[in-house]
Amino acid sequence: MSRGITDFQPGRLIQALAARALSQVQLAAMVGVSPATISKWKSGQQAPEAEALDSLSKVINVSPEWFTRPLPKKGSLPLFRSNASAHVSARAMLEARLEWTQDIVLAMNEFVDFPDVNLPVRSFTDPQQIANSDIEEAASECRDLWSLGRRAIPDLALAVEGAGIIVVREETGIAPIEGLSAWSHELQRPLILLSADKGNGFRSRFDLAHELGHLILHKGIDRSTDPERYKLMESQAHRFAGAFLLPAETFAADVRTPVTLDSLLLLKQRWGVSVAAMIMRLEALKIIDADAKLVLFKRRSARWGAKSEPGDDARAPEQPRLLKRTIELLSSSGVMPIESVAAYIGLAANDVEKLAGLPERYLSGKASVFHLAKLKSMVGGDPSVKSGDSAVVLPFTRGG
Amino acid sequence: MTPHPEAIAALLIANVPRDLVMGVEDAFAAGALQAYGVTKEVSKQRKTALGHMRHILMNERFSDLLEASNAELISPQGNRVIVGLAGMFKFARLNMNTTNWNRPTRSIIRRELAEANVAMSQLVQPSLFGPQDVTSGAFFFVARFSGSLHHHPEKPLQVYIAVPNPKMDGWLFREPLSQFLDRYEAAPKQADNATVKLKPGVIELGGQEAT
Repeated sequence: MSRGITDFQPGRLIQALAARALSQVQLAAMVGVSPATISKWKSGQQAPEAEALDSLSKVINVSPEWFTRPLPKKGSLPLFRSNASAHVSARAMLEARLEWTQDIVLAMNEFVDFPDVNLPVRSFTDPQQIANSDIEEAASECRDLWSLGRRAIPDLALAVEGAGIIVVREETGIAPIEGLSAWSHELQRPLILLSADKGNGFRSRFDLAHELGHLILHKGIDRSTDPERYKLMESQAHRFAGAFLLPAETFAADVRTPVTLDSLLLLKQRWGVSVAAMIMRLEALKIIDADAKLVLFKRRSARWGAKSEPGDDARAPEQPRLLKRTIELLSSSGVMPIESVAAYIGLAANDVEKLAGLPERYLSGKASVFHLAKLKSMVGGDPSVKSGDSAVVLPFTRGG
Repeated sequence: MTPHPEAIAALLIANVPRDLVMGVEDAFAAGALQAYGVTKEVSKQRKTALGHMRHILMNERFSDLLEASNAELISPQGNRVIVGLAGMFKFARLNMNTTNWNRPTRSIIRRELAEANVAMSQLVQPSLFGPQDVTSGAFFFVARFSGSLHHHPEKPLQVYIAVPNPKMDGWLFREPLSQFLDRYEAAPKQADNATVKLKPGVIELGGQEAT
């Protein structure tokens, strides 16, 4: 290796390129070196000098020292929840974000104990081995393990995090990919990243339950690019999400037959699951047949269009809280001042804020918190009409 | 102690399987519908015939259910009240009208069943001599009909689970089955386990003195 700083980790550069969705050429132009140089850094043939590293870290927005941190062992290849064949670079970006989340948890793990992982254990090695009854059973077992009973789950994100799973919910800018999940070997616990782009609380809950299904059912199954296999695994995760959110015994008792969209709209708010997902569940439970499903979907499109359903905004998306609480605990117990958290992790403050679900500028100590003081006299009255405080009209004359 | 209907409901939930309760809903609906069908042709005494046939056909379905759930204590024979057994509870069935509740105390077996509720009645009205352990009890599945041939004569308006007091002149607990069934699935309040704990020794490393 030629001159340059020692301990430069080419893997970090590859991760950073993915996380920022930059090509080699773009990065070269931004850092002010040739693309060939970047290529050599990436392959480990060369390491950047101090000055170039400084410029590189500024462009990527991480600390220079971060490039010398060895990469943790790769986790299981993530499973993507996407409704279209998403672009390779988009997938790489989300994968890198998930790795960064792992970095944050690893750093925090020095100081705190996260909740123990509490999931049903399954050892399928091929999706073909998984029958529908296995999925229903796994969903029931998971509810029992988490003491959730058989009714609607008030806050799924809370339950998932309580079982030791790390959840990130952030805007990714990549609409087709709704979420991804992977098991981290280093942490011995799973991670889930959910897209916040759609801002729909019902879909987000379903996405989370879907990822949970992958983590339980497909833990020991090799990732494959075979579209048939991928499709099967997706449908299994879907079935799991339905079974977990809408248990047969109680959901079936709630449903009135013949099923109408309006009766499902009422159940939507009670169960926190979209009408579309309920229709799918009703078919899975054989309460309606394929024809009835088709009719309901047709009416659904005709009445509400393809994208949204009435009442979508009645439930705010559930927010993860575990990482946020961890950082707050470190700060409040005096282990680490808020301002040093990002530096300790090595990532930019705003990246940590996004991944940990913290408000903007929280870590730089400049969070914009406004205390909205209320005047006593205004309480109870109509704030728009203040008696005895009439506005003064200032006359002004047109000059010239 | 948990305040009464809750304490009695908890005893019922612990002893009576959910499936049996749902089976009663089905058995009553089926028996009542069948009775309505077979008495359609009766012209002059239709109301009376309907009442009689409800009694017989709902008894039959009820007995089927108890047999299938292995819970039959006294099987149907002549005019005997059918009695089932679930855990420490004995139970029977009863039909009533909205307008005119029949006198359930006419049956000696029912009165005997209700006498077992002495200990349970203390959950409602504490005794001077300290609480007794509840080791037995009785309840009824009560189907309430409209009492009219024009308003849903084919099905019960509501089915209740009802625990009589020992003298059988009032109810210690009474609830529609639709509501009672929810008790089986009541989710416990969701626990917040999404918490982290500082590792031991971390505070000292952080430079603070242990107090």
